[in-house]
Amino acid sequence: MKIRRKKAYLVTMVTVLILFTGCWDRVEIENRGFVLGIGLDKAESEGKIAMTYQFALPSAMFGAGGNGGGDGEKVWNVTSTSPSVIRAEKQILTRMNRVPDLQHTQVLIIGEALAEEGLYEYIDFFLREINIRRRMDVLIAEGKAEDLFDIAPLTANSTADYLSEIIMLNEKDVHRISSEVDLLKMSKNLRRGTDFIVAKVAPGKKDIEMTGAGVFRKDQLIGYLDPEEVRKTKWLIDDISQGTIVVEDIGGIQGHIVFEISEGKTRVTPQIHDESVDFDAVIRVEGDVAELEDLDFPDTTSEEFITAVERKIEQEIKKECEEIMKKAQEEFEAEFFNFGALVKNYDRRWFEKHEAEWRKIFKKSRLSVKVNVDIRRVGLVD
Amino acid sequence: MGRNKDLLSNVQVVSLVASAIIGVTISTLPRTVVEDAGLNGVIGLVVGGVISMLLTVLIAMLAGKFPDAVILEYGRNLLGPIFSKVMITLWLVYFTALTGVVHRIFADAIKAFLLENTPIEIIILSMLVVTAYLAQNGINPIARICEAFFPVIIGSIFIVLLLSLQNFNIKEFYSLGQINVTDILKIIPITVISYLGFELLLFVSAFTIEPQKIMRNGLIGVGISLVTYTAAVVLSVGVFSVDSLKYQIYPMLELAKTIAFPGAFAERFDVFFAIFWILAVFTTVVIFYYLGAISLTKLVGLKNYRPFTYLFVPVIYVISLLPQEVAQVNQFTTWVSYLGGSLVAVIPVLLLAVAFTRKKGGSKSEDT
Repeated sequence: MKIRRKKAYLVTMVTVLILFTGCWDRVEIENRGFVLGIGLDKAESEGKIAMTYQFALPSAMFGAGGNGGGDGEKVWNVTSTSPSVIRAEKQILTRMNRVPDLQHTQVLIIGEALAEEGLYEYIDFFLREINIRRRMDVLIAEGKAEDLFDIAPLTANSTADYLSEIIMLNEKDVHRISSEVDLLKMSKNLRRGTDFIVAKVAPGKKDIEMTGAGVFRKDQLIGYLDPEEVRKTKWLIDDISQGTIVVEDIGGIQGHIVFEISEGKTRVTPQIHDESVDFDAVIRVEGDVAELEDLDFPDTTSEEFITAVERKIEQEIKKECEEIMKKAQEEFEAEFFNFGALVKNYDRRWFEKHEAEWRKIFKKSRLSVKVNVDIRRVGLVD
Repeated sequence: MGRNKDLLSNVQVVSLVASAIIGVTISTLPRTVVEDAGLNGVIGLVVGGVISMLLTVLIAMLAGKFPDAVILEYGRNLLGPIFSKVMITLWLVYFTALTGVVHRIFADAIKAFLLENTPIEIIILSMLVVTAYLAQNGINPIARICEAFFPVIIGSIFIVLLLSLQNFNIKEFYSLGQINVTDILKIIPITVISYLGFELLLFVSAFTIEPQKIMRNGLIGVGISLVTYTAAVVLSVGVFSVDSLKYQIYPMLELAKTIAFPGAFAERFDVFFAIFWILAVFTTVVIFYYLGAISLTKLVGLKNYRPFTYLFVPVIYVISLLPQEVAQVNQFTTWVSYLGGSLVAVIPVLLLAVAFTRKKGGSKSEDT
């Protein structure tokens, strides 16, 4: 009996030792190639895509040599051309002595030409792939995404870090940068079949400018908004960032007055009728008077002055909203203010019935804007 | 089996019921619920929970009539030897098939999320060995494990849900009022089977410290699951929207993936969740494994169920590997769930009916 038990014990131990020797899926960290950014472009040859991986070279990034690493290259960009995303990835493997690791990927940049063709067939890999973070930012490149990765800004370790930090740190402070679009938001829009905008990045000499936005109808890039239009759009999509509005000549004041937005909130309600939808937007903005051109103006704290400025800014915002709505309806024929999603949320049945002609209905929609501006402070001088 | 040594405390019964319910399904539930019914599925889920509570009441009433025996014993009194054997066989088929299919779903999810290169055979086998090891010692250790793991499991689920609030969009629920009764009626069977697990009360009622509180404990257990399920589905819909949720195979794990911490530390939150989800699956399979083993013991008329817990290892291993691909796994899951659903719906009612007619002096128990 005792011997049998010992035997059973032995067999169990050996089995366990053989089966569970460490982790089956282990890849040592030094064998991993951390991909920081992914670029997708249309390749020269027909029907193919060019995928760029920006690999981190950690030894150069954090190695000896004081601030920010050594002189050498901190990243390595590998591009491969293939008919599908996954095959492009496999092709990169043939030229890489590491296991690509997508867990720390910060940005996905999509080239203009590819975006114009439509994203449906290329985005699927990123939703299916387990390692990709759903909060990875998506950007549109003016020109080729591949070229952007060659730019190495001095303040960051990699192009990908640089771009994701611009979004993370500065998007809320500048209302000319388009709202953050990550993979989660993107997939929601694509699944729903609604229109949206994605921030555009354009190459500079030593830096990359995040300016303007690409307009998508369903999954196709159909045009761009300039930074001013992005600002106007952000009124309507309830993502009011800090920024300034300039108004001129009010209350007997010479030259311009700069109003600085500190916070704001937009509430859009759709009025759904049988065959049409109208939108009511209520925008509340708070801010300060930041700059007066007329240094000698006597009394900025007076009731009349403040009210006059408030009314003027309200008109200005209202005008901007109407302008951008008109542009969306007439030039783009795309409802990139999340209006489609909004209508769908309010009345799912109606939307499902009218989905096919939704953009036509949107074209005829009226937008009524109510703006309420409060000037809380005027700065330190009267 | 008289009342001897340690019996199950009230807390243990509650955690047993809730652990048996919350298991592998929680990771896939939000998609199942909204896939065909949209937002109506959320209503269907709550209704399904209430129906499960009603069934729990029936089970508790039945258990209350026979405080000293479990269904495998009093079934013989009520149904006669032949029908009771049929009933036990059905339970046995259900429990073994369920244990097998849960192992498979679990292994598939683990392979997709954590261990990409590990063969599922190994994942299944390692889970199975641990399950068998715990199940051989009977219901008491299982209950203690459930009692210990349950707060951790519920805690991890709610941490994921709370952190997901950052992406939550209440607007996704604006058209919740557009009720479509046919959609709700269609989804109810599917939601009811997602609550399966409370049937274990039929098998453990005799081992509890206070059998008269079985109804209360069962209802609390189902109630906890109802709240957890509803919260999980509501959060998933709010984060993903119905349109995108339809495409997620493992919405709860995906939900954990969308959580972002400021400063980008803890980037793969899904791994954290998956670890506790493994515990949830473990507590579920071990209960059904044990129930399967005692059913088989009763069927062949033996007393000691221990040999059968070992015997089950190869059987369940084979069952879990029977479906070849994901579509077959789903098909198999549906069959097993409907078998379980019908057993849970029919057997307590049947037995109760027989018990009542007999008590009123009729001796027509054989005609059922």
